[in-house]
Amino acid sequence: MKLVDRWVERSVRGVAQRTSRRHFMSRLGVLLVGGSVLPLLPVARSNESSVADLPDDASLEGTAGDPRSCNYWRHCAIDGAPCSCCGGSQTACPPGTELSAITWIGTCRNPGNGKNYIISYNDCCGKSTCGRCMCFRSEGDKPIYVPQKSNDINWCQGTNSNIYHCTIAAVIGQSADE
Amino acid sequence: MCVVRRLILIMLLSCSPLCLAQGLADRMTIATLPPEYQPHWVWVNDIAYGHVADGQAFLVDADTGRFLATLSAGGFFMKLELPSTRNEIYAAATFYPRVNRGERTDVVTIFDPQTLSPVDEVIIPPRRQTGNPTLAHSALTDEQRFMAIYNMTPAQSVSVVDMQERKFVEEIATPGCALIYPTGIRRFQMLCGDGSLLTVSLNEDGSGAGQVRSKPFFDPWQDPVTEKAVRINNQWLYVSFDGYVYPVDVAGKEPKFLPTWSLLSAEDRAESWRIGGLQHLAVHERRQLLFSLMHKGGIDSHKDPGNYVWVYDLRSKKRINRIKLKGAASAIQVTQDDQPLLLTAFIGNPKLTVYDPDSGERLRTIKQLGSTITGLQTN
Repeated sequence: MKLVDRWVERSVRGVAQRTSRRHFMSRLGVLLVGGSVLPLLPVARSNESSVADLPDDASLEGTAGDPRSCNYWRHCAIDGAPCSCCGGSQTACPPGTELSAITWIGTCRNPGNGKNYIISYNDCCGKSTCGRCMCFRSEGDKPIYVPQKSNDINWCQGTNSNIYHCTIAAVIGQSADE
Repeated sequence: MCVVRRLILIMLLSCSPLCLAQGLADRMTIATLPPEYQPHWVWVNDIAYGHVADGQAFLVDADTGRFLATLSAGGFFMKLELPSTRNEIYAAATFYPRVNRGERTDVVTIFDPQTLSPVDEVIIPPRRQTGNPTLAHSALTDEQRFMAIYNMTPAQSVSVVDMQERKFVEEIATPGCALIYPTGIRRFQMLCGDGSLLTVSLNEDGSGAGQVRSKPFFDPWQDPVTEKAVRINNQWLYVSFDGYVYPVDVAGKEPKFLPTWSLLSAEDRAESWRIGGLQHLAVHERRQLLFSLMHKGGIDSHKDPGNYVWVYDLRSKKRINRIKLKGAASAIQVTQDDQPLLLTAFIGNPKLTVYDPDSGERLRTIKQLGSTITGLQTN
């Protein structure tokens, strides 16, 4: 990946030197660089999870397997309204909302197999707060100046509207310290 | 038209409100606030969590319990700026033309303190950081000319507004550092992800004059300080999740880190006492007192509400009082006069409770204050 990055960087720098700042090629360069960088961010891996076998919620006892419950195992670091109570699910935004790609992550232990998983708490945006099943657990939460671990930040960023509606809790990998 | 119909018409006309109003009528007016606010008037900030496009601040008289007025602040309202040198109030907010959709506009609105109506606004980059409010999301520099607003997109920066000229100055990139803690004339500091402080200086026109990064003064992974620091004179008091106070002297151009001390004894720690809340600290400047909202809880309970306020003498660094609250609180504040009041509110129950900070006696409760109280400010 580094070689590709360097090649893209060299190409883009060359193009940038040969064209005016407002030239459309400059803008294309931004897209190329952005495209090469974004897949390296942990938050962009939600569509290509490294988890071969996602843990089975149905096998869990009590509310630890219920995505509408604050006790749901993936909700260990949430601060907000779980989308499962708002017309969506733990991996789907409710109808008509917008999924924010920029997010924060927590690490939650699955009580079924005892393994730790990295959970991406993406916000769903564009409609007023759902407000149902409000849940504040904040395990591992850090202050705003450690943004990637802070659930006090409205993560409706890079979306058409930054109005917060609810939060999903998607597994994006197994914790590396396992 | 038959005679009966004509009679009915005449009766109706003769009983019109205009007719009734002759001779006896109230004069309808719109109330205004006096030029001088009282020391016990309190701002109760409400982000309106269920409909964040409509944040509000309520002005309440904590002596009488009287509700005085509402300031309609706008979307993702965090806090007010209350300059002592200008008869104005400022609030940064985010607006959409169709409530939740359309093109985003961020503004600093200037309000008239006597009507709480907007009189002007300055448009700023649409990048202010939103979320759970703190009192550090924006601030005025000490000479009160420039207002700094923290941005995150997630790139981190600060927007500077000249409040004297009512114009946006510039956006200053502050990678890795967040929030605004004013430290002097045209100067403020920010908390950084590695546990250091970034001191940002401004030129006379408000443009960035330079930045200095300190060495880390705490470990953000082992025991981070909360964002809810309080300032007393030239010291900022940052308090960690585990209850350690990190005083930072900001009298000079660069911060001076003073010895840390603990809010908790070994016995307190054994009993699992912890700090916690959205606005868990307050100070009384003249009496040199620190107030800390406390609860018993486990790790990661740094945002849980408290049911006690512990009071410390900042000269001796000793606890001098423990006030048992009559209900949970997530925000506390203290008025700055010689007969101070302790004020508490809980985000889950929209009321303000007023205590005597010496006796701990509950004096009164003011109910029906919006929906989700996030912070308390005094004038």
